[in-house]
Amino acid sequence: MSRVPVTILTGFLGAGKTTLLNRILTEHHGRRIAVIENEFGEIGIDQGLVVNADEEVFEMSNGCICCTVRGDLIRVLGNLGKRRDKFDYVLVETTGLADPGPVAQTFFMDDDIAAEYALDGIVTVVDAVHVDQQLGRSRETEEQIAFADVVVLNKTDLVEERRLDELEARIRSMNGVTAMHRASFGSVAVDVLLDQRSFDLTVALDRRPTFLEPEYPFEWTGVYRLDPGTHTLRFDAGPDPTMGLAVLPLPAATSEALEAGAERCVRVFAEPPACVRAGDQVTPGHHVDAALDAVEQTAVTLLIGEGTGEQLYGLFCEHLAEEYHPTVTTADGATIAPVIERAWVAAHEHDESVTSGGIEADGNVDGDRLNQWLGELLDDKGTDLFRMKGFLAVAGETDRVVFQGVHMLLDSQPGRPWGDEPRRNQLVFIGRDLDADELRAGFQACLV
Amino acid sequence: MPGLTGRVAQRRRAGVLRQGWSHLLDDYPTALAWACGGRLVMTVDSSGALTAVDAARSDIVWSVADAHEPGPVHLAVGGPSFVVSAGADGVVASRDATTGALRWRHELGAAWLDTISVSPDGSRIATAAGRYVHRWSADGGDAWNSFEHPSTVAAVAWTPGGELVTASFGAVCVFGDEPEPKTRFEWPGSLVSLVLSPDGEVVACGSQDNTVHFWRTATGTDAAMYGYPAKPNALAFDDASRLLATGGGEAVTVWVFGDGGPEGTTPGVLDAHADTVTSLAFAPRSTTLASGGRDGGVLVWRLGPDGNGDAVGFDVCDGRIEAVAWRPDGRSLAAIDASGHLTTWRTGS
Repeated sequence: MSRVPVTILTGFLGAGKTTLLNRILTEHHGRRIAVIENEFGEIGIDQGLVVNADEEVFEMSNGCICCTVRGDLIRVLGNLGKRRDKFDYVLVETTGLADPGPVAQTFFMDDDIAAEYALDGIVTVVDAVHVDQQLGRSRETEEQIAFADVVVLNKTDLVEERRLDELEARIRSMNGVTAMHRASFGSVAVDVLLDQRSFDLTVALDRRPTFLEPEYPFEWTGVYRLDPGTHTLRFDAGPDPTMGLAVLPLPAATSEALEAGAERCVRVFAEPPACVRAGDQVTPGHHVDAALDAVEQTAVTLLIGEGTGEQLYGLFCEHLAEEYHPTVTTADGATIAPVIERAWVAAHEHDESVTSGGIEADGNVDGDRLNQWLGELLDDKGTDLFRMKGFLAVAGETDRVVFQGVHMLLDSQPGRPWGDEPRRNQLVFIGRDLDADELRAGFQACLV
Repeated sequence: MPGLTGRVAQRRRAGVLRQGWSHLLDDYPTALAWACGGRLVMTVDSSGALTAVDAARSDIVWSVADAHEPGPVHLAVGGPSFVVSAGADGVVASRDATTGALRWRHELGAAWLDTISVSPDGSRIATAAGRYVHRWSADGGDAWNSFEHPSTVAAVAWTPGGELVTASFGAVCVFGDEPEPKTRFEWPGSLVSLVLSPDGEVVACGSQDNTVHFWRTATGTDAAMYGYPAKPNALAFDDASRLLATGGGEAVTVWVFGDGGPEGTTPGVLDAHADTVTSLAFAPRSTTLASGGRDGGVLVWRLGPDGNGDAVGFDVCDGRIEAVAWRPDGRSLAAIDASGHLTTWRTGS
């Protein structure tokens, strides 16, 4: 008997859950959807089979948060199962204040529900206009983002493009594995919301988890068209005594080329910097720390070697251009304006308590040590660990081990065989107040 | 029923269960009861239809197609003469058991009614509507309702003296005539099922955290039984108030009350179902137990004084068993299953 898929729709009050719900219901997708609603929205729902139920969080007598389930869902889903021929999909619209943990746990902890229903995914609607105010103030909003398999960034028509980029980066820093879609008035294709099988380990491998965008160690890049020869690079004085920088050749003045360049530059910045002072020479391809004068402008010489003639270069700077006003001049003293420039949203700008962290490591892990480490981790941090996903190369196993977890509930199964591919491990953790270094160290200790 | 179950139709007969007739209903059957001293079998299904079948001749004596709006409907039989039903439409209705004629009908509003029950002497009726329970006398008068429980009422039962008992998150409540409970038995977990021993001395509940919790009503002392792999939805006491049969997994676990037990004793374990036990019923005035499971199996067990026993009858229906019920004389058994069938068996050695 195939289980009925269930999608949970969360989001802060006013984010546009009901609008999105109505869009899903009115689109011609051929599904007969039953809706369980915890909130009487400002807009009615255009659908016959809608059940209203008050949220009832059932804590367990043992006090374990990870065993907490939602009694209203157990009751309503149990009853809906007795009219199975009338629907083939369930949408649960939670209140804006709902904790998604117990909602998700219900599908794994309750025997009757697990037998008949399969959690398909958690869709979180985020109000692009107000989410900045909600984050940091509302644990619920943070947790709804942390648990999401799909984030719909709604009301994007009311927000500038650049703000949207920043918001996306902020949301990514909290949940590095969620799919993200921009929308206004809930305009998202139904097929990116429903039937995602986000909790199905058999398809987990087909979608490589999108890992976190790196936290860029630079905040600004200007792209300049430079001839071979000597140039002067000037910075204003600012609050910092040094300016980390690197100059890298770029193939084009496009945002794609810039992003690819930024990835390369992350590695350049990982090298120990050469310290330079005013008047020293800087060449492309190296990480440099320029000592800045506390009051006056500081100038260094940028030497572009003889090559193929005029060429595009990216100047990647540790600090923002609006603070230090970097300028590039030719030997003749002519100022060269950047072709394009871009500020990088540094993830560390926001001090989120909810973050996601990734671990990537080549080689094999010891199964016993890993189990012990995970067991201790879940005992210790299960409450603060919201989601976990990944795959592992376990020593002695010919197949990948795919796993994922909600709080302390952990599920794993064999995935594709490794064959000739290099064996490696990828994990993503999403949680509150996680110590990424500690997690990495704990995992490293499990490597063979 | 298309789409309801993939289980292959498979009828087997064994031991004391001799299959009688089987009816295919219009929709998913949700409740079952014997009426008129065992002359009729009543069932309701999710289309909202209420059907009475003659137990001997297997023909439909009467049916009401639109007794309720579509959705799960609950059913209880009172005394020799009436049947009450409660549905997701918030309607409670009482009908003449012999003819199906409507006696009275109350609309309680939007709340989804989760259970209905008639007191042992047939004089009172109660239904749970969200966090409230409503009670009437058998004629539909003397309406009374409880205080607002802290969470949805999952089950109701009666003391032998006709006092209403409810189970919900955190407590069992016993009601006199006041809206507030006169007695509360508390437990910090979600109670999902409820049974009282026929002598009124023990109230037992299955809990969401896979335990069975019971209280002795006279003293309020309580105990919990751990170790169930699933939540015990199905509970049944024998008429002697000695054996408590509990589901909560593939096995039926039987606790023996009396002789200082069940505290510190080892229960009887009846292991034959291939999936979770969904329904349990003791035959009247006997220690013969019927069990139904998600596997579609219907078993009859003869239990010894220690709660252990052998399966003496076995059959398989086409879908998960929703309910089993003994005819008042204990000579027939009825079951409804997810494939939409109402099936009866004669039992005898």
